[in-house]
Amino acid sequence: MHDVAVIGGGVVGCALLRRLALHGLDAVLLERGRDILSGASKANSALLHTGFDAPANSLELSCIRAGYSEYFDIHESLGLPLVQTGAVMVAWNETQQARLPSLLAKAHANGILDVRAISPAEIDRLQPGLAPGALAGLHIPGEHVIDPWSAPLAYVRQAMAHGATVIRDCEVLDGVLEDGIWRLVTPRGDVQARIVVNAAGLYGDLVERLARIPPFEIRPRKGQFVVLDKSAHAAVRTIVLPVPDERTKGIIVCPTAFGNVIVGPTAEEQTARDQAATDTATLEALVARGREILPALAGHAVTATYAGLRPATERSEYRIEALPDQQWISVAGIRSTGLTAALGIARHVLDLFRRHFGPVADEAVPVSTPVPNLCESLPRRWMQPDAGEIVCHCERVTRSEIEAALSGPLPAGDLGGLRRRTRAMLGRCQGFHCAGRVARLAAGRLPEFPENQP
Amino acid sequence: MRLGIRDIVVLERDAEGGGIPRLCAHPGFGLKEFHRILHGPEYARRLVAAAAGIDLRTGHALLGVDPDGTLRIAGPDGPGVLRARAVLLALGTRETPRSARLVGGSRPWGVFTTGALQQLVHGAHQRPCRRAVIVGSELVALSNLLTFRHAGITPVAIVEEASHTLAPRALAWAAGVAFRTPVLTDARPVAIHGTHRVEALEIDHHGHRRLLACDGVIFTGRFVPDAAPLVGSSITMDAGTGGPVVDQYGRTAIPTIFAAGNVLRPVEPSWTAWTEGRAVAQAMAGQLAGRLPVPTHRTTLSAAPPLRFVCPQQWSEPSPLQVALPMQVRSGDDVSGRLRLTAHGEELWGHRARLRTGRRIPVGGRLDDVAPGAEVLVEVVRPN
Repeated sequence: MHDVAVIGGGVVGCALLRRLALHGLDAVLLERGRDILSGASKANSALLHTGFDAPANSLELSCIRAGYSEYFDIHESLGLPLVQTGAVMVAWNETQQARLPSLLAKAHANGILDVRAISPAEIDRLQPGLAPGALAGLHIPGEHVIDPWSAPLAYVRQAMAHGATVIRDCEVLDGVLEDGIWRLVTPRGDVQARIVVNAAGLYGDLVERLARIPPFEIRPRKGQFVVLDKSAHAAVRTIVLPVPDERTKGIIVCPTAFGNVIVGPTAEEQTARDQAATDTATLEALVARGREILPALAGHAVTATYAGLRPATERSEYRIEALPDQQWISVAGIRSTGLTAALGIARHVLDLFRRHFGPVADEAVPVSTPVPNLCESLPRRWMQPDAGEIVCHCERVTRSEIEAALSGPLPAGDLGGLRRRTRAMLGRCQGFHCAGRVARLAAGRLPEFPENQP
Repeated sequence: MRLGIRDIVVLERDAEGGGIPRLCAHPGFGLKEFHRILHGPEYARRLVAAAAGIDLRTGHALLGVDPDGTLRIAGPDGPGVLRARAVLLALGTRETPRSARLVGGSRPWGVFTTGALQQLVHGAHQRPCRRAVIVGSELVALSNLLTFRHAGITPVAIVEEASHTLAPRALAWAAGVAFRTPVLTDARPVAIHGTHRVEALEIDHHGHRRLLACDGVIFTGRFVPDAAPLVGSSITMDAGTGGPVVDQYGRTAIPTIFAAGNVLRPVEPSWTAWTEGRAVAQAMAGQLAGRLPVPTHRTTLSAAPPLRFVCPQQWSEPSPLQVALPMQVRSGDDVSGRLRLTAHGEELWGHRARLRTGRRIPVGGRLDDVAPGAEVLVEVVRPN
């Protein structure tokens, strides 16, 4: 029997597993997908947020701030990049300009004291080449770009080094609390734990039914993105934010850690939890919007398109709560700030655990479990004198990186997992050149590439 | 054909030389080069054999080109540089994948380019789908039908956005008769459906939405030069071709760097690439021997819409050497009229022509006598 079962291997579940394991708890992560990050966490804008625009005095804000600070502390020892781009919020019309003072005041009230108002000339210095017509802006120097897939992988691998277990392809079908022990029914057999943490993201309300009538309803909110070719990267120095309105933070243009540029996201409500479809008209509009904001983006090809689902609820705030009688902790409604907030959420959940379910050990000295670097601005494997064969030339992925991702304590569970761990096949040719080589290396080890094809 | 050049290095990023034909396991190669019809892999083997004795460095990729012509490369030993008195860029081409076409829907397994499918089938012995739709009707669609037959994949349909197939009529015939495959023209892929695996391709056919049930979608053709290492370098690129701007000898903006083959523009058959490679090699040898002087001026040609591009894009002052790259244009539309070459509005060459989308049309005439700096235009004048 485990001390804790965490349901959901998204970025929140991975960070939770790490925090619990660091405090000596025997924790198990149950993920319904073939690999971690199969739901909401596989597709986001990859930003490390300061919380400058988060709701004042909210749990979300404190989790973002704690997560932000912890990421700074641990990223180097985990091999994770931190691309210190800063962000520029640009007001293009007077209505937007009129909102800036209150946004600035909010940022300062939120404790982000280095946010300041800037003139069009300063905007141009921070991000040359923007379309003419910027009236005013804010500079948010602390907003940064990270690798959204390596970070949770690093968390979960550190958790495993501290004794945690990860079971994938393991949807929780049912569960009962009997004699103080949760018995969770999964296709991989029953899993027993004293406490259950529901970090099921897009399935949060369905999983919550095991403990109670869910007081929240997951309403997936889709965001579509386009990824532009690496050739566009030099044109984008910082994160370019629009002035948000009540409904959405709006379309941003920003560099990625992998040397691309992304434009997105949209905000579209839908009911489906398992599918995030793009549509041509929206993608075309995103490409056009990117060029409108930064004309130098014209002429750069689209490398990839994707859509992610934010696990929003009917209310805007995080829904984190301990249910002492049910031996249950709900972690729901973690919307677009989850990537940053995850580490802070994990600390908050540990506090809840301590308060309601008993003492835990002090934090162990973390075992260093660095993940391979995929960030373009830091040394990559192909740059080493013993690089060996390069398999994917668009993203310069070596054979040794692919082989490493297919083995070890948490090998890629499907092709998506391999792509997220290595970037193979994620470049401009999308596998035109390397699909066969990747398939030969992965044959029999990923469901997409069976050993003996019937 | 070493033309007296002793010290030659070939950089190939794959594990073997021979290029794309290695994976085209069907006939259609070598008639001109080897006087017989060969399968792609055999053709590639013969080409590599013909280059026996040359220092072929596989596993080496071009990363970029410095302004002085130094090549930045990556190999099994990490990054490095290479300097040569003359360089031929033969980077080839690739297809435009689903993402760059902005086709919507989900992202399940089962969406490939021809290149990816051929490698999965022939290189990795996989059968990644059972019933697949072919998007695009360029000649490469036929190559897919042959790969399908080899792998036991049923072709559901060929879907073409234009109002007619882009490959010669033989394709439509072959598809319809030999492979029992419907060819749907005026049909645009809209969205891919499926969660883990492709379940259907949604198309807009003559303005009506239709679902084609399938577990694979192959995006074929719409080739683009594989010129990424040149972007941002001192080599001028042409937005029309997607490749480097070259003169009639294949010289790029860096005069020691030449280019030939499908890196120059969207795709030509292998024998054309082969012919161009040999012709530009002659120019390179000529330049090394001092018979092709560094140009003092180059006349730049432009192509008026609906022409998509003219290639070569520049004409340098004449030399005793033969022109390596005959001038050609491609149209972005079906159009008929007088195709003409003008300098300052004066016609240097003209010909009645019927241009079909994406097909090569040769342009005659020479620009040897055109004054430096002249505005040279290739255009189609439509009859009133």
